[in-house]
Amino acid sequence: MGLALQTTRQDEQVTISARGSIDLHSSDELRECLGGLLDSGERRIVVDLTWVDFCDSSGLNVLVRAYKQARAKDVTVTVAGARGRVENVLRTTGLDRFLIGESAAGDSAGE
Amino acid sequence: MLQGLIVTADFPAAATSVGAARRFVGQVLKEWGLAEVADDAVLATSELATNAVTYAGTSFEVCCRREDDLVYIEVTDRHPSRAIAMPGVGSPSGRGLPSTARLAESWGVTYERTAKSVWFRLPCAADRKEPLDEAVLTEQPEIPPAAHEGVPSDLRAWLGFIAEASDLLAGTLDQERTMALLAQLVVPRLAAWCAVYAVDEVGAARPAYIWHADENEADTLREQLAHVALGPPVDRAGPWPGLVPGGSGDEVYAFPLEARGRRIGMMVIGRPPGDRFDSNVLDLAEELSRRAALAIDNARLYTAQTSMSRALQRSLLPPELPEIPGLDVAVVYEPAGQRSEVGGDFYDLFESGAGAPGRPRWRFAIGDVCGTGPEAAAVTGLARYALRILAGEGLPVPDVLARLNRLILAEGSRARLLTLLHGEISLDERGGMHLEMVSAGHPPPLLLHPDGRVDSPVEPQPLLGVFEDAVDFRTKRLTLEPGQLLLCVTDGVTERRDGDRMLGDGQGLERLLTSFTGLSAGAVAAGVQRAVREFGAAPSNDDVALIVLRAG
Repeated sequence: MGLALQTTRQDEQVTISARGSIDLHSSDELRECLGGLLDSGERRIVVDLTWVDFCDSSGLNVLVRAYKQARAKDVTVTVAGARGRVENVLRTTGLDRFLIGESAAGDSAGE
Repeated sequence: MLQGLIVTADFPAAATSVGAARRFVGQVLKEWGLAEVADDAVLATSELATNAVTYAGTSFEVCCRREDDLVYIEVTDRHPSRAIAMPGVGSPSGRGLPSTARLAESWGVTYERTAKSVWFRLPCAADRKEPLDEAVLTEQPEIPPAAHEGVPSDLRAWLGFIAEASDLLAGTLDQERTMALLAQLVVPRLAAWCAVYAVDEVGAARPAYIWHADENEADTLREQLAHVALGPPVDRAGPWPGLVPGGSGDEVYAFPLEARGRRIGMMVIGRPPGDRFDSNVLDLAEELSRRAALAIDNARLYTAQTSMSRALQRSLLPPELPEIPGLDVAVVYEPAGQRSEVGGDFYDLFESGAGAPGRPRWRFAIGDVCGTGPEAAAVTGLARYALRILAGEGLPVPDVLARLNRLILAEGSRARLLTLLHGEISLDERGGMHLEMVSAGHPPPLLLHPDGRVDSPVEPQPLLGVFEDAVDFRTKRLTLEPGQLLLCVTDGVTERRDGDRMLGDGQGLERLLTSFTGLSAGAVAAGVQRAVREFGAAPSNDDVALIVLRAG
């Protein structure tokens, strides 16, 4: 398991590509990564979850906090590429309708 | 070997052998497919191995034997002359074989001419998978030089002794046992006897554990110490005058036990008259007392935290369930394995104030607060009590969730995500059973039909503690027909792991539920609980809660 994060920029958008599992042990890394991007004044942040096989409630917590922080600054944080268990947990928790942005889904590569 | 399986391994008389013995037993039971008894067996083995090393001071053999639905584990040391080598025996508490006796179905001691064996027996369920072959495994651990009795002569050996002692002291989280270990480490290597004192509520030091190299002298010593007037523990290391008046004339030294700025007791050590302590031994004893104090205090904190967590956890669950005519109800709550923390799962079922006279209604709820520990428990408490009050006043189900959402968000930085399934149960005049439910981000409840079909009647809606904007919760209504069963779970069930697999993968829970068609609520609850336990070899690291409702 474990989690690898890679950040890439295209035009105005920063994409964090995550690979692995987002759980109690690894969610801090994602939190720090998102926090850093929000602090440095990015306007559009996408978390690409295509290669994430599992996201538990601590992972959701990180995404939700980033989403709320971003919204307060008029920044967008969205997720893309969720499938399988990850898509399932986003749907079950009702977070899909907030976190999966229409534009972001269209922008994310490889969809 | 013909009627069962036997595996043995030898371990040297070193502190590291305790861990090696634990790993050995864990590995053997795992290979036998007996993961469910492994935890208890490993713990009990650890106790016995610790005793072999610290008390008997000899190398030892561990033998695991499987016979039908029983597992025997036997630890044999080579010190047959001593009585049962268990800490606690002879201590003022009078307890012997504390953990082993608690864990094992039965246990006993076998004396032979050159060896003594302590064995225990655990029942184990018939197995899922048989081991691949019945070959006898043998493990041959490296054998370092045996430990010497008496004071080690060079610095290396001293450091080794301190390191081993620290390892052993840190390895137990039971206060009394830690004190017993300290005494056994000191005797006979550093002193002929050792008394460990603990401070009571009023600050007086009382003997908690007394150990004498010569068991015939132990009672005399205990009596002598009992006559010493109680007082506070010593505040510095030095000769102890306690026993002098009319005493044995022993050389006696006392060392304070201090941890985290508190004086928690003292260690008193003695040697017969004329057998003086040299300064090396006193330094060593002082060093040991310092480390032991911290270990004893750690054990105290652990015990305090565990009992507090348990009390808190109990307070977050309903004391009893109401009787609902025509409805068979079962609940399960199982906190995560090893941790002593309070979990974030809860359930509730109670009569609500919404019913007309003679037509009661009930509410049920199952929820999961993100995270564990006291902060999560605070939100769990808030949610559970708010839910009881709001629902008790008859507030409709969606309104309860909206209010609860605002209450959690008002906690500000202490807010936690909460997933919650909340519903109302009502009966119509013909006895028909109606449910009204909302799932706020919670794993969807599953409906089992009498023909074995399973579906999920509730659509997911956002979890609580995230969005300030009023979320419009929509209720799902359904009639629970006789024979239909509703299973409500927390994610400790669906996300139960075994390596990369999860129980909920590929409709796993639906398939499991189908296999329980026709069973009572209690049988289904027990079946799901069992499936969760047995799904993976490692114990679950999440809480598990279930509510099962079946219309009769």
